[in-house]
Amino acid sequence: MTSLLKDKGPGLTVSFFKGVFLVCMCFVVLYPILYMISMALRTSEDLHDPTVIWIPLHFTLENFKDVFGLMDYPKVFMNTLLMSVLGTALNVAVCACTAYGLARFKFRGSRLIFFLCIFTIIVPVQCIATPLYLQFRNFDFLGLGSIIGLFTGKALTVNLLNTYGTMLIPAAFGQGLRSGLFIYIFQQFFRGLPRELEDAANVDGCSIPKTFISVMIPNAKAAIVSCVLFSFVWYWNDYYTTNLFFTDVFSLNGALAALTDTLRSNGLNSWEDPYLVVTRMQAGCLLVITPMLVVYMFLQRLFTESIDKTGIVG
Amino acid sequence: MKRERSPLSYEKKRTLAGFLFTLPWIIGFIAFFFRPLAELFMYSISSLKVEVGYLGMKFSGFDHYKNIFVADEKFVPMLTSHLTEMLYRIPIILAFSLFIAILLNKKFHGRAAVRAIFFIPVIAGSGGIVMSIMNGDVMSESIMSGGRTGMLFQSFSFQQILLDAGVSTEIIGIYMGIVSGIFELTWQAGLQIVLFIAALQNVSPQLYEAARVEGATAWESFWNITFPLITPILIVNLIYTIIDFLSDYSNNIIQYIMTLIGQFEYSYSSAISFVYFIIILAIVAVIYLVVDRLVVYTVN
Repeated sequence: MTSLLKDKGPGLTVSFFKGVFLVCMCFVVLYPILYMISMALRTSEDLHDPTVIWIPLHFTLENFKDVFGLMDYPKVFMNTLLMSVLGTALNVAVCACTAYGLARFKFRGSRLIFFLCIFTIIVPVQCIATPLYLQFRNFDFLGLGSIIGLFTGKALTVNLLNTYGTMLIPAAFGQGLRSGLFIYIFQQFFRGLPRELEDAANVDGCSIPKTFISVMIPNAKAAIVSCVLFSFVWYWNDYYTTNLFFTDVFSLNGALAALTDTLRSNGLNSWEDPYLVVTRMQAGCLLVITPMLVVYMFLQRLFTESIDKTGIVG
Repeated sequence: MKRERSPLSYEKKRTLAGFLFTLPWIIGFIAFFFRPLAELFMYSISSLKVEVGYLGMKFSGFDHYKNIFVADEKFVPMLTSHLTEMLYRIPIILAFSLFIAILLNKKFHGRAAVRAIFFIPVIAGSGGIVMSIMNGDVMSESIMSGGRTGMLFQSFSFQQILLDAGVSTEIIGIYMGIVSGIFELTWQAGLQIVLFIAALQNVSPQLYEAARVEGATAWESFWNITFPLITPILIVNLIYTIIDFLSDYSNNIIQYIMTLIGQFEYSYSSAISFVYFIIILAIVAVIYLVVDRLVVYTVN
């Protein structure tokens, strides 16, 4: 462990304690995951066996296989992936634009807009669920349909329920999942960049949109990586909104929530054999979490890269 | 060149550009946030009758708002106790996440793996379903098997080992309290840790180099370089932690509002929601206006 934390500054003992501390903290974080893995890999016999605490006697992948089929995993996985990727892309792009507008330009009401942004994260979606639901059932193209209706006598509306539109249209207009937070994060990063960057670009004849894309965006890489990461996780984990707008099970978390019922309708009753359900549930959890860990492993490389590239010297 | 031809002055052009950059958001805000919220407000100032296939609305003034403070015995005590809890929870969460972020920002072997581990709470914690299965399962487990795996860290067997080793019960109690407290902390601070890491990486290494040449200690360069430069993200984390603490779905007041909605008390629940959100917004705005002045934004 000492070699794990070779550090030139503080002495060896400090490094050692740091190492021990980090290992302990990792254990604290990992405990429920380890428990999950241990549970998901065992047969129900092992569950009844009090001598088995962590390592199962009879390894089995039966739980995973079972849940994979019951959750309709491939289909639900693709739904969730598509929604998460598109939702994240729109969300982050629009939030970056909005944040740039707020951080770098002074115009009347920009401060008010900022507070309204914060307000959007304060109000949980659960509280405005009913009006939102009705709005998507009779979607009038942000009011355009109703205006047309004034002339033709019949408002132009579309039912968007059960389509990706319910998730993606708000994201395209900066109202995706927790967009307000991303706007705030971007804004702070943009405000931290020196003004000379823009002035120099302007002197060179760079237009404002071009300055944004080729000067500001590359310098906000750390912000982009963190926002993409969080946005992806929140879309991936979203249960409430997808459940609200889709009649059938649509997302992985929805499938996971429905798993107890699915198990029951397939003859596994939690009262008859509670442990059998427990192992299946844990396997389901792992199937939902693991793809995101893989995404994180990939994105975090960008994280480290961004230190070397954002070399703004003060 | 372009500038000379344009009829707009540079300043005006920038104002317009700023407005255009935020325009999609403004449209989205009105359509997907303001409109539903306005409807919520309409509910709160009327008495709603929900019957099968019928939704009657009758204007009733601000009675519901008055009732929150006059007739409701639950809301105000809930609010005060929640806000007091916030006062000590927030600094702990922030200090803890900054500390972990600093540790994870240093270069060491296995850093990628350790960072991935600390990202797990963000993944699992934000998925309400995963979290509830985790909690629920651990609970049912301890009920059914007499605490074999136990409530996460209040593991029975481990306490027994300590007891057998002659450690007094008080110390074990304190120890268990700390451990489960830390557990909760790591699960609440996942996002803050990642954001702090991002901020720490934006601090130019040359600054530390210069400080070392000048003979500054690690402690001094932390307070004079690192800390000021991460204040922009510190305030984001502060505001986010407050909002997360106050509007988290599992918190008492939100649960109370949800119960009211479940009982079809739409008008009253809307009124409470409004009051509650305005209170949160006021707290956040005051903190923002006070703290934002202290934030260092320019690298110079």
